[in-house]
Amino acid sequence: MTDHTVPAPGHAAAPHALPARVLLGTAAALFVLTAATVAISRVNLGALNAVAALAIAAVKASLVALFFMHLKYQGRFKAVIFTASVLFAVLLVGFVVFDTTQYQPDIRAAAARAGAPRP
Amino acid sequence: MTTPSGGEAARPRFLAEHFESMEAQLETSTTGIWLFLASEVLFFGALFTAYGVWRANHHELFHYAQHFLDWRLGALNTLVLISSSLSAAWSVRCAQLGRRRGLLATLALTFALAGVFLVVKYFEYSHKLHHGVTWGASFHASEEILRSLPAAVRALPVPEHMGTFFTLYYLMTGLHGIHVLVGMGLYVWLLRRARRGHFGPGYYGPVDAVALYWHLVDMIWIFLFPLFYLV
Repeated sequence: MTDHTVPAPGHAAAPHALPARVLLGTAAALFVLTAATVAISRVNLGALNAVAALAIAAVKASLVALFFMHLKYQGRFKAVIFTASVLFAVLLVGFVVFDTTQYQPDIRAAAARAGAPRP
Repeated sequence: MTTPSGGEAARPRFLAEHFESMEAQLETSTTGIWLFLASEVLFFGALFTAYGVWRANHHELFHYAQHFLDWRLGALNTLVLISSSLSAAWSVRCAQLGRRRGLLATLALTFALAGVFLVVKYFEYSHKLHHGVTWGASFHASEEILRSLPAAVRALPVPEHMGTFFTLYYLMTGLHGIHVLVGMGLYVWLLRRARRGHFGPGYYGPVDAVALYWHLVDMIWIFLFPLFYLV
């Protein structure tokens, strides 16, 4: 192939635009899940309420990333970058929360001995 | 790719000097945006950690303080942001397909919906500040707002550290709000460039980059809404 038959640099091949039904379907799913998260929060499930809310939020965020941000159709490298950051954020929250709940009984016992109000 | 002699004239207008092709430029800028978004996730991750620590140790505080927030306004803003994300994604599609009118309309719509979000947030904040629902030690909720709580909640003692809940609330929603404000500025910039006809199938990188940022702002609100308003 000679130079004059290939597109000049910069004249990118036609980009792959996402079909309208993918975008509309994603938005519809996000609306439905928003209604679901509100509905579930009205039912008292105890600690499960927070778990359910976080699970639905995670599904919604994944839909946004996969379709609106077209991560599903991009090179794997971008998915690795983003997934890694989410993973490390979750590790940070998870381990710090584990740690603080580990020490709470000791802190409460010490506060009770000192007669101080709970910190 | 070799450039034929005298090829300077054929060089695309928006191809920066240090890139060989528009494809390379687009690929580099998109990867850069994803790296930036990763840093944003970690940035907000630190605040979610603060939220997690306080919630793990004081869940009664969160169950109580949640009633100071109006979930209907939070849900409304969630719908507004999802719509704006749809509009942002659509603007990328219009640019890629070379639909100039559609591009202008969706960019303007995204900007407008971001504005609606901030107006709702303004009413929420001003109502709280008016009633002394503020951060840290300055928290001193008015009798009026305490009376407006559901009966089951009024029966409970006011937990300690109410100000800390609202420090987290103002810090996290406020930082998110600043991101919305920055997004509005970026959409004005895109609108001005789109009006000059800068974008099309051969050059839509900035539209895509700003939309990616905007979707992340939407994504963070998707977590903030249930964590503060619902559970």
